[in-house]
Parts: sequence; C-alpha cells; structure tokens
Amino acid sequence: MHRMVGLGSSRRSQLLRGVLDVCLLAVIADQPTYGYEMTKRLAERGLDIVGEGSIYPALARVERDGLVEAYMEASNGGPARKYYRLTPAGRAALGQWIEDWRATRSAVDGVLRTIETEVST
Amino acid sequence: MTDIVRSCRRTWRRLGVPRAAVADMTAELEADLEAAAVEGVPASELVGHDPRAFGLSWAGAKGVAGPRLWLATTALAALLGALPGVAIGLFIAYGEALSNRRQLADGYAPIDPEEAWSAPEWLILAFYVIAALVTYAGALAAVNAVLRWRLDPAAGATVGLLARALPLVIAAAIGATVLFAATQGFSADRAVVVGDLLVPAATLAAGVAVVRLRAVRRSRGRVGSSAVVAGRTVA
Repeated sequence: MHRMVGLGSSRRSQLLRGVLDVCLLAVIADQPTYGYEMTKRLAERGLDIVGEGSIYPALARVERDGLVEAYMEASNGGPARKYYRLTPAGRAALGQWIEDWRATRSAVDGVLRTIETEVST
Repeated sequence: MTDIVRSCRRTWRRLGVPRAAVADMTAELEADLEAAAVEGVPASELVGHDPRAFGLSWAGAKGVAGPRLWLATTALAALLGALPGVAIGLFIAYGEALSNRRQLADGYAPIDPEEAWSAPEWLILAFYVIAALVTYAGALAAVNAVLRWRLDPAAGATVGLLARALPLVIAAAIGATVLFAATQGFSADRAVVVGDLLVPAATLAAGVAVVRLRAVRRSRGRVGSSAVVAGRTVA
C-alpha cells in the first residue's frame, strides 16, 4: 500500500515536471517574481510537489532559452533580489504551450473517459 | 552562509564554474533561503535533500558546467601519477649503468671487467616491466581521481581512451628519452640527467593532453545540446 502511494506521488511529480516550464511562465506572466516566491505561488495552486530543487534549474533553462529575463530589484531592508519577468518570446511560447497542454489534456481525458465508463459498469 | 549554500559552492568550484556565476547563484540562493527561513519554511522545500545534486543540476541547466578541457590539470595528474613508475625505471637504468663504474672526484670511470657484476638480464627486464606497469596504472589512477573530483562529464571517456593510448604514449616517451640519451652518449652528467627526466615528462604530458582533447571532443559530440554533469545528463 505504501509502495502504491509512493509510486503515485512519484508519477504525479514526473507529470508535473513535464509541464513545470509552462507553469513557471504562467506564474511569471501573472507578476514578475523570484525563486522562493515562485515556489510559494505554485504551492498555493496545488503544485507543492514540484519544489525540492526543481524550480531553479527550470528557471535557468527558460532563461537560457530567452523566455524570461532576470533583473535585480531592492528588497525590503535586504540586499537586491533577482526577479524574473517574461520576454516577448516567453509570452509567445506560453500561448503556444497552453494550447499544446489543452490539446494533450483533452486527448488524454478522451482515453481515460472510456476506461472510467468500463470500470464503473 | 548555511551548510547548503556552502555545499553548493563547493560543488560549483569542483565543476570549474566561473567565479561570477558562482557569486550570482550564491546571492540568489542565499536571499531565497533567508526569506524561506523567516517564514519557517525548511530549506529542503527549495533545494531538496541533496544539495550536491541540486548544485549540479542548477549549474548544468544554467550552462556554466559544461565539459571543460582541463588539459594542464590532466597532464599534470598523469605526470604525478607516473612518477613512481618513472622513478623505478630510472633507478634501474642508472643503477645498472653506475654499478659497473668507479666514482672518481670528477665523475665515474668504468671498473675492471673482472670486478664487474651485472644483474641477470631477465631480472632487469622484469623490473622494467614492473616500472612500465606502475607508470601506466599510476597515470591512469591519477587522471581518473582528478577528473572525478572535478565532476568532469568526460572523465570516463578520457580514462577509457587513455587506457588504450597510454602504452603508445609511454613507448613514445621511452623512445624519445633513449634517443635523447643516445645523442648525449648516455652521459650521467647532471644536465643530461635533467634532460632524461624532462624529455619523457614532456612527451607524456603532450600525449595525455592530446588524448584528453579527443575525449572531450567526442564527449561533446555525444552530448549534443544536453548538459552532462558527472556522468548524469541534465535535460
């Protein structure tokens, strides 16, 4: 039973990692943000499982791809903090990826719906 | 600075991440960990439970931890690793040459052939084989240790290629040394002895550097656009 729960958690984590870059871009599109705040905002939306070290590498990848850009901004009383904001290329990519995700989700739902009907009958 | 940040910095230094990038990542991580600590959030929620793996993954994703040449480091490691074997070889060569000479105030002179003693040829040959094996194993082990410590992505490729090429490199080093010694009449003068040490060292270093260059190029070709850090691919 514990093993099944562990497998479920691992599968969910893998699924989320596959769409982490979309989620990051969506959060940043909402408002420019920094690494820790991004973790919090993803957790507020139910994506707490993706934290644990995956945010920073994912951010670095989208930054390398030119989808976000970093800038320094003074924080309350502390040293300047690194924030991330979307670039025009990032905004375009986000729109495309949202479409891709919806199409994928719709296709997967279509497959799973058949199974649900068979299981319930 | 927390243990987590220290561990990440250590990892980045071992990877040879440029100082500016280390400073940048350190500042970002410290600021975020501080903010998390103020809110009572454990650091593991940000960086996971393995700071080293986190440091590797982040540096790989940023593209600051790609394969580096480390030519001088690799050559120096091979030289230091080969030193015991070379020392054995030189000891045999000079021991044999000097055993049948008498020391004079201004050098050495051959002794009476009837007084001369020489070790059996098979024994000398066996010692040379041992010296070659110790040189080979020492150079390979040292290169492997240094590149693994550096978390070098091409460490395995370098050691594999070196394992095949090193006999040739050692043979070239021996050949170059014999050639040099022959041009000097196999003299035991200090300047010639220094040359006898420098010639094989330079040949070995050059050979190892060429092997390393080939290994890194092959490794880069295989990796393509992914960053490989210490044997693991960071997509």
